[in-house]
Order: sequence, then structure tokens, then C-alpha cells
Amino acid sequence: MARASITDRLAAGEKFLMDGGTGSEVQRRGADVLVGATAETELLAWSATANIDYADVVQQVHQDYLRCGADVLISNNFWTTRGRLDMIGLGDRWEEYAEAAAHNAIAARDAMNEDAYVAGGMAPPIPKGRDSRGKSDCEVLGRDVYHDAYREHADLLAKAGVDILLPEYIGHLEDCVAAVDACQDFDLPVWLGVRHTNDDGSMQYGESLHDLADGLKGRRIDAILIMCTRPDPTDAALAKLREAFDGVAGAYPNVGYNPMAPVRGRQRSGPDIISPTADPPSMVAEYAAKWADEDVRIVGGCCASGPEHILAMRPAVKGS
Amino acid sequence: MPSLSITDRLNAGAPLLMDGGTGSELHRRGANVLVDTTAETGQQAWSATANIEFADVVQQVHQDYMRVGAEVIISNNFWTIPYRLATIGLEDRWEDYARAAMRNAVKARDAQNPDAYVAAGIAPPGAGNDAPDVRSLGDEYRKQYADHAKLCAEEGADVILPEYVGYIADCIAAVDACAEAGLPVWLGVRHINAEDASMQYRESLADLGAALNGHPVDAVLLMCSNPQAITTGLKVLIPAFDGVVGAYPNLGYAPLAQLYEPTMLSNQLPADGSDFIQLGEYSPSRTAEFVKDWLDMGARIVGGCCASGPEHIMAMRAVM
Repeated sequence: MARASITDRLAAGEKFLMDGGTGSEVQRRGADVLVGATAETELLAWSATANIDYADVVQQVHQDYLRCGADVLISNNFWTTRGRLDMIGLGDRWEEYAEAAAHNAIAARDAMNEDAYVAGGMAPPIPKGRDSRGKSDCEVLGRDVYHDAYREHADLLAKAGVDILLPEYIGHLEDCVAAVDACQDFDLPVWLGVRHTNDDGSMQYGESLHDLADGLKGRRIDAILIMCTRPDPTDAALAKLREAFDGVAGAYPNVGYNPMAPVRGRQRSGPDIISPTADPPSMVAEYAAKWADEDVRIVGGCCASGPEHILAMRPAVKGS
Repeated sequence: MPSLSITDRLNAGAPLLMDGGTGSELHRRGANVLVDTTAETGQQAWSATANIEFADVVQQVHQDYMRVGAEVIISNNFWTIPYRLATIGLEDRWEDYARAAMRNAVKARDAQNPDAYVAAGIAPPGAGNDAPDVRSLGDEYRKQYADHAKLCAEEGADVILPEYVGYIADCIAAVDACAEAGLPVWLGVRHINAEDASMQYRESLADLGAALNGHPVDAVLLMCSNPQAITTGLKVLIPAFDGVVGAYPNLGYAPLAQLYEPTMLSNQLPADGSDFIQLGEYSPSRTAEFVKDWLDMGARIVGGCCASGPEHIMAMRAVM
């Protein structure tokens, strides 16, 4: 494994193309990502179990993204956490699912493009209580519990051989800082994925990206990426982020995903798992070109984006 | 190998679910389906070469369709024919590509669902413009179809499917030639006109039904036409044809979209822009509503053609 340090390459000004959605794409291909879920439940552990039950499909999705030109894969960890897997009675097996996810990404990378990087993507470890609306996970669970759960996931992924730690899908500023803190001791680049930013470029709960950048001072934080946000508000948040943060900025937008459609039927975004109003590749590619011009250095896709989106973004990000 | 012949399976009554698009899905996953193709050349051999160069991806697409419930997969032969491979200098290797296409389908079937059927899908030689191809190519038209069908039978096809045929005379010649392989023959008729249910060149589907009388064809399927066109076409075809009727619509595929320079060839850009998948209104749920109508009208074989993916087949399965 003679990969150059991605941090050095970013410092030298290189741009990187990430992959697109993995959970949504494995769902599209018929993997069961709704284990135990019904119309009445929430999403539970989503695609965490697919890492073992549909390992071949997960690896194929990773390989397809590499074939389309992605330089960075996000492992399909996300909710391979004790807290999330507990919701379907598999909490005690979280390490198996987490290791399988890392293995799937690394095996796909090794098979397809040894120069590509694997980011260990980790969503918040424990589901929020139903009464936690507006409160941070740290407030609800206790900062130590939240931090330590992130730390055990990061520790497992570092040992499994990922190249980057990526705590992602985090809404509150306090939770972002705790998650980044949990990733400090592994001698790996730390990227942070901030979810659901608003049309005015603020964070999900109205906090500012300026305050986030301030809050992260003194820690290792190599990149902040706006994610799981539609392209328009992502663009607004990137403008704020570039003013606030002197590290690398990135983005991987959600283009329109409705994972519960098969069990809940017609939701806000319709009965289809990939929303009919999903942003097409050409539209995402226009944003990728704009962002590349603005020195956004890591660009990819989140839920509902597929290999076709990464193909379309590739010329803007990589020049060919 | 399936325990029941496909004809017995059809006679058993329940409608058969086919797969969705293969070439378009390969395109989406980054397989090169535009070998030696430019905006000026036209489509050349399309996904024929992918059967060898991206055999793993072809097999994965087949497996994904069976995972979501397809009972029939169409092998990715289509243009593995001398006439088309000649456009990229590979005419002499047509048998290699044709065998590879069959082997990909059979291997995927054996791995995923031994009871599923492989239909050998073969597009016609010829340009199909002003006159039937059988008129311009003569015996060469019949020979290319008969040789291809025999090769596919040797490789384990369950049914031969001459498809993407336009003129009535070509339909008759194609089914007669394919029947020489000794397997059941289904016929796929392309480009139905939505406004008057006519065939591509304004011939009548009622005349097609009558003309096929006495020829060795078990099923006629309307294909590579939009769903509205298929609905109107089935109304004419069903009373006219004394056999099984089916449909697999094209939902909006523009294979050359990404090759056009918008500034140079704006008159040639696909109507909906530069995306090669242009689903428009044909979300999986909407497409499944059409399929439900067709089943109610008496269609017994349904699936998807270009631009449909596993998510469409999953949605169709739910209404069957």
C-alpha cells in the first residue's frame, strides 16, 4: 500500500472525486436495507446489515464508483454502531458489521484501483430519544457516551485499515466537535460531514458554520464537507464554509431519497425510493463545476446519487 | 436450468416478470458502451463489447434483476452481430461476443436463481430505414439471425427473442430464421407510435398479428417504445394475435447524450438535455401503474427496456 498521503495531495491543491450514495444504490439493486422496519418504525439500522447479508452487492457498488472515476470511497459503515444495531437486536454484533463494511470498501478498492482512498464514514452512534428534538445528541446522551461510542467506531475502522476518518451526518455544533474529538488519536486524516444545512447556509439547527469552525480550532480537522443536503442549500452552505474555515471544503449532496417508501408508501417525496424529483447528473455536474472553480476540493454524492452522477461530475473535478 | 420449460411456465398461467434495461444500466455503472463512438458516428455496436470487456458488470446487472424478482433475463446480445460489430472493426469476432453475452446471462442465472429463464435477445442486421432490412439484405438477414439463434441455443438459451424489429416483413423473416434453432421464439417489436398504435413505419399491428399466423412465434412483445405507446399498441395487438402478448417499455435513454457538445450540436441534443437516463415521468411507481393496466388488458410478459433499472422491476413485481 504505497498510496500518497491524501492530506499532502490536498495541501498541494489537488481535487478529489468521491463516490455517490451507497445505501440508496444497494437498495435500488434489491438488497434489503429495511430489516425490521415497518411503516411505524423509523429507519432503524438501514444498510448496516447489507455489509454481511449482501456483501457482494456492496462491493459491486463500490467498484462501480471507482470505475466511474471516484478517488475516494466512503465505506458503508454509517450505522454499523452498537446503538443502531441494537434497534434490530444485533447490537452485540456491531463489530462484525463494522468490520465487514470496512472490508467491503477495502476489498473493492484493492480490486479496482489501489490508488483510491477509503474514508470510514460514521453516522452518530446512538439514535436520539424521541423527546430530543432540538437538543444535541451530547445533551441527550451525555457527551462522554456520545464521544466514546464514536471513538470505538473510529478505533475499529483505523485498525481495519481505512485511510480517512469521516464522522458524518451530524447536525449540532456540539456533536460535531465531540465526534471530531473522538477521531483525534489515530494518526489519520479527519474529515467532518455536516448534514442538512439550511437555505441561508446555516447548520440544521440554525447554528453557524463560523461558530463550528471556531469550535473546532486546535483539533485535527483536515476537511469539512456539507452532506445529505440538496445541491441548492449545499451551495449556500459552501459559501459560508469557505469564509469561516481555512481548511479544505467539500460537498456530497443528497439528490432525493425516500428509503422508507417500500414500507410507508407515499411520502412527501412520493412512493419511489429514488424521488422522481431527484436532481439529474447534468444538474449536479453544473454544481460540481461551480464548486471546483471556487476551490471546493472534495466533491461527490450522497443518497440517491448513483454512478451516473459521479460520471457526470468527473470532468469538472478531474479535468477528464 | 429451470425445472419447467418456459412454454410450460407461460401456460401455467401467472404472468412472467422480465428484467429491465441492460445496456443502459451498464452505461450507468461506467462500462464503456460507446467504443469508437462520436457524435458523428451514431451508436456503432453499443454494449456488445461490454460482454467481454466488462463481463463482471454484465453479470452483476443480470443478478440484480433476478434479485428484485425477474424470472426472465434477456442476454446482452442485441448487437453482438456481424453487421454491427463491423462498424468498429470487430465483425470477425462476432461469435466471441455473442457467446460471451450468453455465458454472462447463463452464469448469472445459475448463480442467482436456477429457475429463471434466459431469453437470447437479438437485434436485427440492417439500417431499417426506407425498406425492410430483409429486402435490402436478403438471405444475409436470415442467415445472421439463424446463425445467432443457433449459437445462443448451443449456449443454453431457453427462448430466442428477435427484438427491436421494425417492419412486418422483417418480423416474419426473423422469427422464421430464429426458429431454426429449435427453441421457442418470442418477437420484440420496436418503436410503436403512440398517437395511432401503428408500428414504426406506419404498418398496422393488426396486420402484423395476421401475418404471423402460421409462423413459429409464441409471444409478441412491444418494446423500446414509451409506456403510452405500448398501451395503445396492446389494444390493437391483443385481439389480432393468437398467442401470448407482452411489453417492455423504454423509459428514456439517450446513449449518445454525453458525446454531444451542446454548443456545436444543439439541434442534436436530446430533448431533455445531456443526461443519458431521462426518466421524466416514468418513475418506478408510475411505470408499475402502466404495467398493471397491461396485465389487466391481458399481457402475460412484462419488464423494462432501456433506462429502466432494478428499481422499476421491483415496483412492477409489487403489482403482479
